[in-house]
Amino acid sequence: MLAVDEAQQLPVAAARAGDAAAWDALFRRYQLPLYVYVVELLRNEQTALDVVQETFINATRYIGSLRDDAKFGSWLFSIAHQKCQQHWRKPRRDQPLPDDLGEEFMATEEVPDDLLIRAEQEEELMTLLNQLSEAHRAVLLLHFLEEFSLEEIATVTGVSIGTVKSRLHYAKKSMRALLEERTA
Amino acid sequence: MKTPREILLQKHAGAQPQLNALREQTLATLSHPEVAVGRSSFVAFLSDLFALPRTAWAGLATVWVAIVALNLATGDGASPRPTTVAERTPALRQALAEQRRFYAELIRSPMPADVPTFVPRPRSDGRANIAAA
Repeated sequence: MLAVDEAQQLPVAAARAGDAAAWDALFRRYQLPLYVYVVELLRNEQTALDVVQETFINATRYIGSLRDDAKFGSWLFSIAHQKCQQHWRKPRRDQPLPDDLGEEFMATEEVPDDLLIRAEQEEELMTLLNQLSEAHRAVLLLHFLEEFSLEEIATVTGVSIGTVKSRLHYAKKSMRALLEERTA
Repeated sequence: MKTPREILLQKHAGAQPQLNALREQTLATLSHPEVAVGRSSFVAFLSDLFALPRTAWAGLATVWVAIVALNLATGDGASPRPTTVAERTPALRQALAEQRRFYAELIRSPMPADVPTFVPRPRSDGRANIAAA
């Protein structure tokens, strides 16, 4: 597991004490995944860079509010997610986030996690991501980028674990269907 | 074969130089805590104290304004004032004088004669009265 093992070695305590080198290590570790998450949600590179910087600044300012050092990654992503929500609300107030598909949906079928993409399918992955709603895209990106647990994804996105399961199931099933359709 | 994570990170790897610059800017503010972080934390403290509950402050101000306005509007007519001697009418003066006279009579008048008074006596007097009867 990416997030759990690595979290043991992250210098979060030193960063909390104000160690600049510790912050440097933390930011180096998360800057690209965080940027990918934000830019894939907002579809604007400059705005995504602004959000990443605001996230870093807020992280240095409010690190005292982080209770569990092992959750630093999801905590950082939750700051970025809130910034994204602020940007969503500004220009497109008339377009609400799509509704959930219902939590009963997730219990119907399990989709395996071992999703591997062939080189010729890489573009299709990005196409599919673009087709998903922001809510489903956010859940899928958090799963792919950091392998966050359902609980962590729920914390970052501010929804229930059942909703996360539902969205993740729908997104992965759509992706698998698209990939199989193209290969057939 | 690649994982979705690898594909996503590879696609946006071109943003690394800009992200490095952002990181260094943020770290620069950390290296001058007395100027940047100290000031920002003070500003954050102030904004937490005053800016966040802005609606609460506005609500409190409205309530106070309403209370003051109500107090000013109803203050003169509603509050009872003690009447002065000059404002008393002749009838009121007469009633007061009668009342004073009545109180004075009550104080001066002796106890009525037919009310039996209890005077303690020795028990032997009681037995003598019974024997005589």
